[in-house]
Amino acid sequence: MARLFKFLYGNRVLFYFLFLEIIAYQLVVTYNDYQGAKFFKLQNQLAGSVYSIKESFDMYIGLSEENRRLSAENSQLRQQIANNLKDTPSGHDFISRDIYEVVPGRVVNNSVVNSRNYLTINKGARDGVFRDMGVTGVEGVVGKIKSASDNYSVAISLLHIDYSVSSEIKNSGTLCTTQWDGMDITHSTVKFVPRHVNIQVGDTIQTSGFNAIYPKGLIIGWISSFNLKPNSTFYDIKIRLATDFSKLDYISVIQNKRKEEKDSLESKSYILQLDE
Amino acid sequence: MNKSIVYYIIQLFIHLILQVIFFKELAFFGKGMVFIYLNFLFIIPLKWGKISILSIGFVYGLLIDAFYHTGGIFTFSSTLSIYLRSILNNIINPPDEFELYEQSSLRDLGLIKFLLLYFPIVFVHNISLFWLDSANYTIFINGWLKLLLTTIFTLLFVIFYQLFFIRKVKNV
Repeated sequence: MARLFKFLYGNRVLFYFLFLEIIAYQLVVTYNDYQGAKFFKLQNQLAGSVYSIKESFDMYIGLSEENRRLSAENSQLRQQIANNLKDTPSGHDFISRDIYEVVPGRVVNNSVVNSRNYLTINKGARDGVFRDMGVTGVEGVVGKIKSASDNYSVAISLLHIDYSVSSEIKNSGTLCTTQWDGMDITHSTVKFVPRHVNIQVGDTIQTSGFNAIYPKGLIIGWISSFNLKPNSTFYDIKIRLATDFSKLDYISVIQNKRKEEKDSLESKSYILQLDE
Repeated sequence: MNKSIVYYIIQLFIHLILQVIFFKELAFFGKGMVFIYLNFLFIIPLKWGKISILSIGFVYGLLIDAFYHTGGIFTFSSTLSIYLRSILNNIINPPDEFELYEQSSLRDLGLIKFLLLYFPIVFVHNISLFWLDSANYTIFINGWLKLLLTTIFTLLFVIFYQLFFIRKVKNV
């Protein structure tokens, strides 16, 4: 320990110099937008490549688990084909419509311990992934793309306390909002379901398709418990999430080709309405 | 420190005003800028101690940055310059047993030693400055002329300044 202190003291000028330079570099990055953007792009690329190396190790270790999941997914898809053949189109037929385009990808980094969680995906702008696209997993909704570099992109997870998804109750079609409360990674909360609606434990919550990020009918979760206080307007609903965020691996990024058209039409119309 | 801190504070303001008022918009042949502010870092006595000299370089860089609106770029480069000076000075102008190595002005060193000491510093200063400013690694290909001209004109004006305004420091 004494030698360490001696070493530190002996090189104090060098350390002080490096300390000052780091502060100066931080100033450059903070106060100059262009340099800052360059720095963060570099950082993103670096972190992405490290994560993908880590991911390739994890992949070998988790092969058996992955096989099990894939076979489960296969059977689910077969089930779905069978359903589609015999009755009306189910929620997952968005792939066949030409409005939506799907980019398959893998999660290379994921967090669940924070109150604002993000995940990194190994597809970026080169693969056609851009900001504000929806991300779904095998079981259900996962999140929304926040930013994309050339080869990687970062998505806001559904487990993000500031992120809300426009959703509806499948049976009644009642519009509501799903937003995580930051407590339990297997459960989330649903807001703004008015008290006159009849709901039951086990009802499916799905995306409404109103905000053009997700297509209508992607499963978010199922109601696990609800509570109605005597003097409140809305139910307090807890849902069990369809996606297991602790085991996220294969995901698809959904691009709505008509999102810009829809958004610009809507904003234009609202402006006209205000003018009149 | 008998030459009183007041003298150096006045020098600081002279350099600051020269840099941000006269030389800020000036570029010879459209490329050669003059960073006369560096001269102040060259006249600070090294015997004040390396830590305090580094601190002065840092704060001085912040001052220049405030006028250029470049948050941090000049701070980085000026801290680097003064650190380099304290290292290079030991090599080129090794302190004698009997004299404190206060003198590294043009009149003390002579032109050859002066250039040997300050050309690398100004050159590295310009590289770091332009590199941070453009944030890419191609300055040697696209900006070598700018780099060279800026180094030459900066040294030229530093020499002028030293010739006319800096007197030889006497040993006490």
